[in-house]
Amino acid sequence: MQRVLTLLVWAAVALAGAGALAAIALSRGEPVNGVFFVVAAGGTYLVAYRFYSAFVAAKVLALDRATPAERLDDGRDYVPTNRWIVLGHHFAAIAGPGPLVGPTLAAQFGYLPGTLWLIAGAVLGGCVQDFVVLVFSLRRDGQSLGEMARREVSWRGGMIAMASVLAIMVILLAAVALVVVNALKQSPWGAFTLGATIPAAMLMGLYLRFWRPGRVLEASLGGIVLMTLAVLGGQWVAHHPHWAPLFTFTGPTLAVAVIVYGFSASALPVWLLLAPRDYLSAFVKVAVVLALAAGIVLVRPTIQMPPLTRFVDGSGPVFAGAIFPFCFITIACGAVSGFHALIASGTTPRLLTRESDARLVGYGSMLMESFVGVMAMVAACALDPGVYFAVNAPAGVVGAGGAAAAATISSWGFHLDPATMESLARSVGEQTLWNRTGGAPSLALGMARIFSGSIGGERLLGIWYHFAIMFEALFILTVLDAGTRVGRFMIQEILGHAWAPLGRRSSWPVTLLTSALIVAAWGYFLWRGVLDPLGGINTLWPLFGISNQILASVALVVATTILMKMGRRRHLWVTLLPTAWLLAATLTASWQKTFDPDPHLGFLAQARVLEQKADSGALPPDKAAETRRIAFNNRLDAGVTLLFAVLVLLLIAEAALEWYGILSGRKPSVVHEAPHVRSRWLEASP
Amino acid sequence: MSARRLGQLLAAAAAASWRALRAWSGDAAYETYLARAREGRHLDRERFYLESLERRYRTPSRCC
Repeated sequence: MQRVLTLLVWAAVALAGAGALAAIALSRGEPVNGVFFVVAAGGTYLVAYRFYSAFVAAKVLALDRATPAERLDDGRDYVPTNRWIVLGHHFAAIAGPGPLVGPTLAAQFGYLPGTLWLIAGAVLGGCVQDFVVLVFSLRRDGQSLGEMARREVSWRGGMIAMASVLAIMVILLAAVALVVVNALKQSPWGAFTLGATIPAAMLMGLYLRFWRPGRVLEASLGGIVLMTLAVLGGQWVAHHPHWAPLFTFTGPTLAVAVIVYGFSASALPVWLLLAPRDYLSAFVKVAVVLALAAGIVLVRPTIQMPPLTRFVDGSGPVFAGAIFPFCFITIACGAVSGFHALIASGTTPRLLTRESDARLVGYGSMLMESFVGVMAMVAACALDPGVYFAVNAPAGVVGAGGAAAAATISSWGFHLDPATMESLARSVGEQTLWNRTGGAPSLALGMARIFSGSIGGERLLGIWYHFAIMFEALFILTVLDAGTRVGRFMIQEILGHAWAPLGRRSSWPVTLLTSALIVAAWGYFLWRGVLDPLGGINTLWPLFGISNQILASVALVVATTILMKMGRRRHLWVTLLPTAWLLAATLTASWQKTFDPDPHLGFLAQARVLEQKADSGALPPDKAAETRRIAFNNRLDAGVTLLFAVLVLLLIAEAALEWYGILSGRKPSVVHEAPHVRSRWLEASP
Repeated sequence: MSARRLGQLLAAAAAASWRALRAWSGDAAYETYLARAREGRHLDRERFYLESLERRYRTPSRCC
């Protein structure tokens, strides 16, 4: 009876998910409600978790061993922790701006392609990657991805993985920094609010260091009160005749501020700025994600964006490139994120009490991240499409606002009255909402609409908008702080091989030097993104997407090698299928971004057009010099894109040699794991 | 269900949520450490806090 009931419940969940998916996929012109997206995603996730992740856990990974936390429990590095708590930790660590910004940008293709990829990509690719990497790191006492690549693929494979991580870190930090700069440009309310969170975080840091060491909840409560005051204070500043101009910044000024901030956060002691901001960010992140889910269910927003737009052909104004491969590259972290492999092979494996908990933590938290992506898609697509394109299209494509830009957007079939944009900007307390590229402002608009539909109505639209901007910027800065610091350590490690004193983490001159190096690397890409007439995000986000998906391919290739060594040849498809898809998408995207003859898409084609323009003599000397600089930047982008592609191809060649050796019997199939100790939890169970 | 029983259940749920919040946020980390540390050989609260931060932020701890 119990079995029949269970079967019926799962059949109902599957039918609800499939029905909602069919409703959003087959709709042509009828209004679609945002709740369908929640049901479609929720139903698919539940079925995938119950059946597919159980299959991977039982048949592919055979989870039964004692974890490092069980064997090496020291209360410090290795601490057996309740699995729900680890799920919370892991989710807070992996959820960043990617699943919010990526789907918002990909909405230019319509709501359907992005939504389908968010769901399918997570279930078959992203969750599998996070899960298997977590388990393999667990079985190696928490080894990093680079270390696993070195020991299981080859020494060169490890070096390639490490180089990929450092290169990706640089592009990632530049891309997310550009999102913050674009969100705060010409916005005294936003700039004041975010600026005020810096002394608030430092105050928390001092409290946690000197007054009440480690009392995180007390300090965070104080921080949240200060942050709320900062949002309200920002409104006052934005309307003040004296203060508003002082907090109104241009893109280049904000870029300098973010670069100085990144340097300080990397060089200052971790307790002063990075850790307290991270605590604040984690609390706000979890609260906002829950509030957004509740808001979508309460408000039931109607989706305004069509399922597919005319821009699937690659002529989109938000970013160039056709639906394949650029929808998949742009969505990035919401479906598959290579960066998660670094988290899954970092702190998390040191906390798991049982191996079987890796299923909930690895597979489950990626499902939650994908759900965040689906909610971001709903928030973006619930906006009027004309407004969406007015906010996200750069001035270089539609013009700098007004009647001409509205006419261009209307000519695409998305009617827009310029007065709508003026009135919307007024109601959220901004000077303008035209050309606010980067995804963050349009996402904040969508979130503010959903939140104000639940609490406060139109009256609180401005407060909710700036709360959403503060939320996005807050955790982007956390990524920036933490990423810059880790990047600094990686540079120190590399330099330390050349000259040992450069590897000393306690040395102040070395700290300052390596902080300057990593900040200069991402700062360069940020600076040129800010000066880019097409808004920068058109270039940087695809680069970030390509690099992130390439890192995922690296992680999956390492995982496939380990599975092969474990003798799981029948089940290699579990990691090989997502690897093949990711490689097809990333290598196609790399090729097109580098060599496509369309100057809107191909870096080299654009460089050639710009150089011809500069050499034509039609431009004044200063403009010609600037044009040559932009052309150089395009050539640099082409080089970076090719570097990523070469790195992954080299790793595949290394892995293929290893695979050939194992399959032909020329090499012994040896896995480098910690000793196999049967878990006492298994002995305790019947 | 009596009002008293309901009150007990709610109190238990609130206590469990509080414990979970403290564990998730890191507020209870030092107590967890003390419970596992050997007699007379443990770090003080401040040292433990600073060490745990150094451990957490030496590897990628926040994602994109």
